[in-house]
Amino acid sequence: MFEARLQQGGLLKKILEAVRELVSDGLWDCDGSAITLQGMDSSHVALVEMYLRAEAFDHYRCDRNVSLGMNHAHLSKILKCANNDDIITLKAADQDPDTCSLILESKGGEKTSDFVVNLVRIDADQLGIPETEYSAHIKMSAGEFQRICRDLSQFGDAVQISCSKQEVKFSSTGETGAANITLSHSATVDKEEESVTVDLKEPVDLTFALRFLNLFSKASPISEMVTLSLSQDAPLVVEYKIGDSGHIRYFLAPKIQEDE
Amino acid sequence: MKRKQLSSSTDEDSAAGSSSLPGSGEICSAHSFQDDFEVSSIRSNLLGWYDENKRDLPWRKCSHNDVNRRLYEVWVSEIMCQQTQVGTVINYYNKWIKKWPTVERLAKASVDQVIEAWAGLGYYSRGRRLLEGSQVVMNDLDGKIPHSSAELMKRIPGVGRYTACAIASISCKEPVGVVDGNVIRVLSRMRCIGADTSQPATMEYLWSLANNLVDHERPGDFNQSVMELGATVCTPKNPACSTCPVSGYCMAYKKVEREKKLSEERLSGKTPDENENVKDIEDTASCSMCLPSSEPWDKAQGVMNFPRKAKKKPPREQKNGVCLVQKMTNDGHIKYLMVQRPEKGLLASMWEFPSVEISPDCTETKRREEEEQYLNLLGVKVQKINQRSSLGDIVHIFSHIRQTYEIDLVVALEDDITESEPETDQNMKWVTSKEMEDMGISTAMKKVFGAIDGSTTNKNKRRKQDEKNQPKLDRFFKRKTPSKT
Repeated sequence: MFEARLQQGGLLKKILEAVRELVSDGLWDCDGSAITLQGMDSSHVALVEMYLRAEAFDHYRCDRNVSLGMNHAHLSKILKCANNDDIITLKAADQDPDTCSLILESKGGEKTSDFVVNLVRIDADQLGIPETEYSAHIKMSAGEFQRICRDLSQFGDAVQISCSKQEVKFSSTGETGAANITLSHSATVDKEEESVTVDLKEPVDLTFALRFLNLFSKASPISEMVTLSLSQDAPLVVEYKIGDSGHIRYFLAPKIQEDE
Repeated sequence: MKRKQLSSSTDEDSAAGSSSLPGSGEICSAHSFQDDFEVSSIRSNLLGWYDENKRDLPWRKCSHNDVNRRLYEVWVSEIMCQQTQVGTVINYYNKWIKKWPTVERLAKASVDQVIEAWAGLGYYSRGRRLLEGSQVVMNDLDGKIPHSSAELMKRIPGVGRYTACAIASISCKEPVGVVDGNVIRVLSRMRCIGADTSQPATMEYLWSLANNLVDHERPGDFNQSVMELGATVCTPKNPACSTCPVSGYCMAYKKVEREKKLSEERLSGKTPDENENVKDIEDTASCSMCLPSSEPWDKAQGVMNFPRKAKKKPPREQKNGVCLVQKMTNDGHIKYLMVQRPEKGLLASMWEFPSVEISPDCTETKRREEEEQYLNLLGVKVQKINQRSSLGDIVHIFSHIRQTYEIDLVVALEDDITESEPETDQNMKWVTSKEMEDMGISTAMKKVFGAIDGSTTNKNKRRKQDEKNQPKLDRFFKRKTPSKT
C-alpha cells in the first residue's frame, strides 16, 4: 500500500496552490523514494514539475509504484478544510487505485477528519526534460520576483528579461507606455533573502508571457528564494526549493520576437 | 491656354523641355534634360536595363497579333494596376481574361458579374467603368478600341490621360510618355523637382518631361521601364541607387554624392575647392520647381527628398451601426438580409448588411434604435427577436475614411419577420452565407460577416497574433512516453 504522513500539512496546501491554476488535473507518481508530479497547462506553453522526497514525510511507505490522477480542484476543496499545522496523511491502495484517502489530524489530536477523493484518469504525455547548461542563473527573493511580475503585468502582456554583466532587466511594453525594472548583483547583503545573485556565462535576452510567470509566483510561500535559469532560445526555468527535500520547477517556452 | 499648347508640343522631337514651361516664375535649367545626347543615353540605359530585369507579368506576354485584343488586354491591366499593387493584380487579371477574353465578351457581362470579379481589388467604380467602356466600344465604335491616346481619352469612359497614353504607347507604339506615381518619383529625383506634386502645374511639367524623354522606337517598353524602375529600384523608401541604370543622370543622386565628398574632404582637413563643384542644384527661391524654402533639402533623406508630398489630410473618422439580421427559415436555412448600395459613391452597387451612419458617441441603445428605424424603412419588421447580441466592432481603412463598424446580430424566425413595401428604392434580398460568396461584397463587409464567428474582431485577432508568437513547450522537450492515443 501507499501511505505518507506529513507533519506540516501546510506544505501540501502550498504545493497545491502552486500548481492547481496551471494544471487542472495532475498525475502524482509515487515510488519508494519520492512523489513527483509533472503537468502542462492546457495550451502546452508551460510545465510544472514537483519533486518531493520521502524524507519530507515523517512516515512514508510505498510498496509498489502508484500513480494518482488528481483533480486539483477536488483536492483543493479537501485541503481548504485543513489548518497549516494539521497533520496530513495520504493513503491509497497498491493496485490501480481509483480513490485516495486523506486524513487530517489537528495538532493536539482532538480532531480528525477523513476524506476520500475519486481519482481521475489522465492520459497526458510526460515530457522528458533534458539536462541543460544554462547561460544565466539569477537567484533572488521569491517575493521580489512575484512583485516584479505583478507590477509589470499592469503595463504589458509579456516581459522581456535581458541579462548582462551582473545585471538583470525586466521590461514590459504596452499601450500605455513602457516599464523597466533593473536588479544588480548584490551578493554582499547580510540577509540572503535580500540579495540578488547573477551568474552569467553568456548574455541572454528573452521574452515571456507574464500570465504564466504570475501563476508560477504562486509558489512564493514555499521558498524565500527563487532561481531563474535562462539560455537563448530555450525555455525559462523558475525553481523554488522545498526545504532540503524537493523542489517545484516551472518551465516556460519563450515568445518568438515579432518580425513585422 | 498654355497647358493645351504643352500637350501638343509632345510630338516634336525636341529634347529640351524648358521651352514650354507651365506655372509662374522661372524654372532653373537643371530641371529639364540638357541635350539630345543625355536623352538618348537615358533611353538606351533604361531600355537595356528593362530587357534584363523586367518582371514576368501576364499582360506582358502576347501570344497573338490581334491589335484590338492587345488593346483590350493592356486596357484591363492598366485599369487594374491603378492604385493597386501588381502582385495583387496578377490573379485578378488572369481570372478576368479567362472569363472575358475580348472586349466583345466583356460588353455582354452584367454589372453584378463585374463587381463580383472585382471584389477585393478596391475602387469598384474602375470595374464598372471598364464594363461601360467595353459597351461604348461595341455600341459606338464598331467593336474597335481606338488606337490613339487622344481618341482613347475622349471616347472611353474611365480612361484618363495616363491610361490612354499607357494603352496607346504599349499596344500601338504611339510615342507618348506616361506619368504615374512611379514616374513622378523617378523624374522628380532625376531632375530634383521639389514642387508639390499634387499641383496641376507640377504634373504638367512632369508630363512634358516624360513626353520629351520617351523613346520613339519602343515607347511602350520605355514607359514600362520607367515605371518598373520606380517600382523596383527607385522605390519610395530605401531606393537601390547603386543598381540604378540611370544614376549617372540623376541630379538628386549627384547632390547626395557631392555632399558625401564634401564632408569627406572636410573630415580630412582639406578646404573644399568650390570651383570643382560648380554644377550643383541650389534651390532658387524664384524657381517654381525647386524645393521651397519652407521645406529645404534634408540631408538625411538623400534622394528621398523627392518627390515632395503635400501634407496629407488625416482620414475622416466615420462610424456605422451594422445589423446582421439572421432569419431562420421554415425549411431550416439561415439567411441574412442584404441591401445594395447606391449606384454612386463609395463602394457603389456593392451589397452590404443594413448599415446606418451613427455619431461617434452613439450609445448601444441609440445605435439599435437607428438600425431598427432603417430596417423599418426597408419594410422589414422583426416582431419577435430570438437572440440579440453585440459582436464588437471592426475597423476598415478606406483611402480617405477610417470606418468603424459596430456590429449587432439579430436572430429571428421567419414567421416573426414581416415585410412590407420598402420606402427606399434600394435593392435588397435574403441570402445564405453560401450565396453570399457569389455576390459582390466589399472586404469591409466580409470582415463584418466574420464577426459572427469572431474570426475578425479585434480581440480575437490579438489572441491569434499572440498564439503565433508563443510556441509550445513540445518544441523544446521530447515526449517521454509514446502517445497513448
